[in-house]
Amino acid sequence: MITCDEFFAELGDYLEDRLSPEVRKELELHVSQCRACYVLYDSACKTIKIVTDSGSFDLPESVSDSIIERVMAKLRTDRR
Amino acid sequence: MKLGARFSEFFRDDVAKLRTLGFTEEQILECEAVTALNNFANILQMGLGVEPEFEPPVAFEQNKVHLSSVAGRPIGRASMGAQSMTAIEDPDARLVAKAQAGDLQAFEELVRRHSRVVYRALAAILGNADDSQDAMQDALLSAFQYLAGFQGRSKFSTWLVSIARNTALQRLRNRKNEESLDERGFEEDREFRPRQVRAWQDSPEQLYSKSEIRQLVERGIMALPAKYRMVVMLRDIEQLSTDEVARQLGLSVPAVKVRLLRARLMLREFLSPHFAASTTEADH
Repeated sequence: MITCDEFFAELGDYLEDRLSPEVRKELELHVSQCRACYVLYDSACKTIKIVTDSGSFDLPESVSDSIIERVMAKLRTDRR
Repeated sequence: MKLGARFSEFFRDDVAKLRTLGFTEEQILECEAVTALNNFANILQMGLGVEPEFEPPVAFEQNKVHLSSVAGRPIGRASMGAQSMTAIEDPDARLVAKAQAGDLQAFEELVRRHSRVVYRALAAILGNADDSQDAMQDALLSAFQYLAGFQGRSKFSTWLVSIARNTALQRLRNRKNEESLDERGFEEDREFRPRQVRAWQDSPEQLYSKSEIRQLVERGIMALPAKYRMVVMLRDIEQLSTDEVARQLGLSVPAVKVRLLRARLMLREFLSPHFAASTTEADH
């Protein structure tokens, strides 16, 4: 079985689902037998899901409107 | 022209200006490479005792140099006309043309279409909501100022985002404690190991309301160092591919992968106290 260091070295590609079937199998075997690496992998997957589904950084429409209105007012003033 | 005639005075700021005008990384690299070869040939001729005969390339003509296959061809007088507007199919092209002719309403429509992506580009670099909103105003004013120079070599949205990024980077440089965006620290990143080892709840996203989770994620991302924040914003918030993130940030794919893993694990550390199974009750 691969070591925890070897697991960690492949973790980025494992999370991105970019591994060859052979390497993937090795990692799956490792997480089935290593509690610490299982916890790390499971919580990293959940982190990615939470972040991607969060809808974060959507600027509230009222804030966006007010910024755009300020910009347009300045451009109209500069034109006069 | 400066690159050809006074190449020793060609600095990073000049590259930033070219980006602002809509030139792609490939086009800039292409012209730098052609100029370097030209200069090398002249030096070689001098070394051989022959009069250098290669004129400095003050402009690059269409179809003379081919590095990228992008339809918007390299810097050159021949490509500086209106025909380059049609080089890339852009759903904004009609509005851009009107805005370039001075139609402020058209410009406003363009800005409204892309305000979300502009804000995210700013927040990714600045990591602070108030600062990002101030920078958004500056970026939009800069966009209008440089609009006449936009040649349609990239999509308008790409160009607008590049202006936003340059505005944010300039602000970041002006901060007292400048955050590092460069490749240094790449090796130490490999040593990063997470400290939180508690298992998470089965459906952690159900523990909080959507708006609570959004705020939590924003706080976590804003707290990341800029070089990690930018990668995770583009990959996990904008959901671009790793290759596209690398292209947009001018990084190698392996560097993006290392930063992305580090960023995700740092976010995991930040979120763990809120989602770990054994502390959920206490946190609530």
